[in-house]
Amino acid sequence: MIQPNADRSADALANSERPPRAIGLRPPYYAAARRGAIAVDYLELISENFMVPGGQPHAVLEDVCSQYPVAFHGVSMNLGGTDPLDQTYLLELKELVSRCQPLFVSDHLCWTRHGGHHLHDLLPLPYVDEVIDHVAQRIDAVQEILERQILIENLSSYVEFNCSEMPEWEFLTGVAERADCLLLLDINNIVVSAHNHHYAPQRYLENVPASRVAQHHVAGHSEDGALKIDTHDHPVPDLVKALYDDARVRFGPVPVCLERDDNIPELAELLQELNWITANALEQSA
Amino acid sequence: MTVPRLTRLQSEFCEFLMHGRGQDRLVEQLRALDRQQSVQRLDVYRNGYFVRLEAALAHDFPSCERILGRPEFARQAGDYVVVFPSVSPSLRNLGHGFADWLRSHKGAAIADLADIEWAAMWVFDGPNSVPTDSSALLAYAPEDWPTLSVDLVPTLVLLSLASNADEVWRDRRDKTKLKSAAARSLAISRNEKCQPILTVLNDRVFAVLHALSADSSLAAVSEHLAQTEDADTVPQLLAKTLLTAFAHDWVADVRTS
Repeated sequence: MIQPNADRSADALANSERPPRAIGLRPPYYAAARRGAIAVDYLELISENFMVPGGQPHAVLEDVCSQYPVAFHGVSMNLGGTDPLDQTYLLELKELVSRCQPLFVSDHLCWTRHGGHHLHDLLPLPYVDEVIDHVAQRIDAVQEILERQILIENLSSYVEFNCSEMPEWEFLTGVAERADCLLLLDINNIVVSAHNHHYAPQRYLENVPASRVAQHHVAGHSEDGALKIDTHDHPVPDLVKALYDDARVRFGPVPVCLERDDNIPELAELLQELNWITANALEQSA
Repeated sequence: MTVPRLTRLQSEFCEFLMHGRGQDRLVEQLRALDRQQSVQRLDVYRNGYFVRLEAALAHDFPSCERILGRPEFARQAGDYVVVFPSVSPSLRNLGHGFADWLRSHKGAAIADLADIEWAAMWVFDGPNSVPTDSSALLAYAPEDWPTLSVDLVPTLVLLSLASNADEVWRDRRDKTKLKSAAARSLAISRNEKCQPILTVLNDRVFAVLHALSADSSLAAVSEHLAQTEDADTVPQLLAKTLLTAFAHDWVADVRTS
């Protein structure tokens, strides 16, 4: 296990009155993270980027985990798929988790693989009761292998299926309760999906159980005609910031992570954005 | 929606993303939108699929993209992923067959360049090992050497080129034209920052290293070399190769077989 230079327990962060703050760690920021020069409470790493045999990613991981508490966020667990769970992937993730003792391990409420082919996208599910059972059983199996609770994240989506029997938040809640897992509520994804599927984003927040919300993501998106697209290539827009403020009031100071995956700005600019996002929450709680 | 029905839905979605087939059947299953809107929304997924995979290949094969030009690279990448879709949770592995693809479709020289770029990825995140020096060999009496095995570091990649791809790869200012050239042998290894080091090798030394990478036993390698080399010169060639390997930190272990 990598020896930490920081208290990496979720409790230590949860005792804070303000939301513990993170950025999604991307390659342009690796050097600063290795020096411990990023002013955040924790860092969130893409799990798959570090599930390699060795080399530079392992060196980065070693340095980062000795400086910061970390969270692992994955994109390939395929919780909503019908291909068997990938045991090799899960054992590699378990090894990573065991080395770094992350605050959180999360992935998405979606499917990503079919017939052995990885699609590298977060694809939507029909919101029906049998699918809740199916996904909950798979999360259960994952949690058993990893020997810990995981967090599942809501998606941005562009289509809904006509066989769906319930709104997305009810589906998300159903899965979390049946699997006894936690929620990573992505505020940008709520804004994107609410716009694309014509509902009020506040309804999402009002219908998610606060006791299960353990982390927030915030990010920006782009627009393509009438659609909002989850591109993570813009600063957080006012709509997302406003909804995050609402979420902060409803769910309390849960850890928040700012994600940026394209048009990545200078670190100082991203940290300024993170300060701006969380400042309002502080003012509201004062 | 039973699990078999979910499987069918995902199969249809997958077929649409990867091959563009079955759009009408999918549209029927989407929540009430007009057809044009449904098609537009499905295209967000289909376009995103190809853009993402092409971007991953462009990230991993930047010199190939530079030489081919963006449109041709995108065309090759798009065709490649139709035939060889991703079978790994990580996009890092998508390009495993891209050099062979380019060899078949664009010729040996660009394939050589792709081989170098793929090797650079392996150097970047391949397994760690601590190199050993010649004292590991000298710890054994010369008469015991035929019983020894020499393990090369796992991130050493040996390539046979039919072009000047190594010069093109090194030329960051983009002044070198990629062209066919006399065969040359190349070793790619990592420095302490896991960046690639390219070393042009003598063909005979390359042959010994190649044999060692297939079978680490010095006896087996000697036997193999004796098929093409004068038997008297094999020990000298082996010694020269081992000295080269130790000097470049390419030896991970010397052990009794």
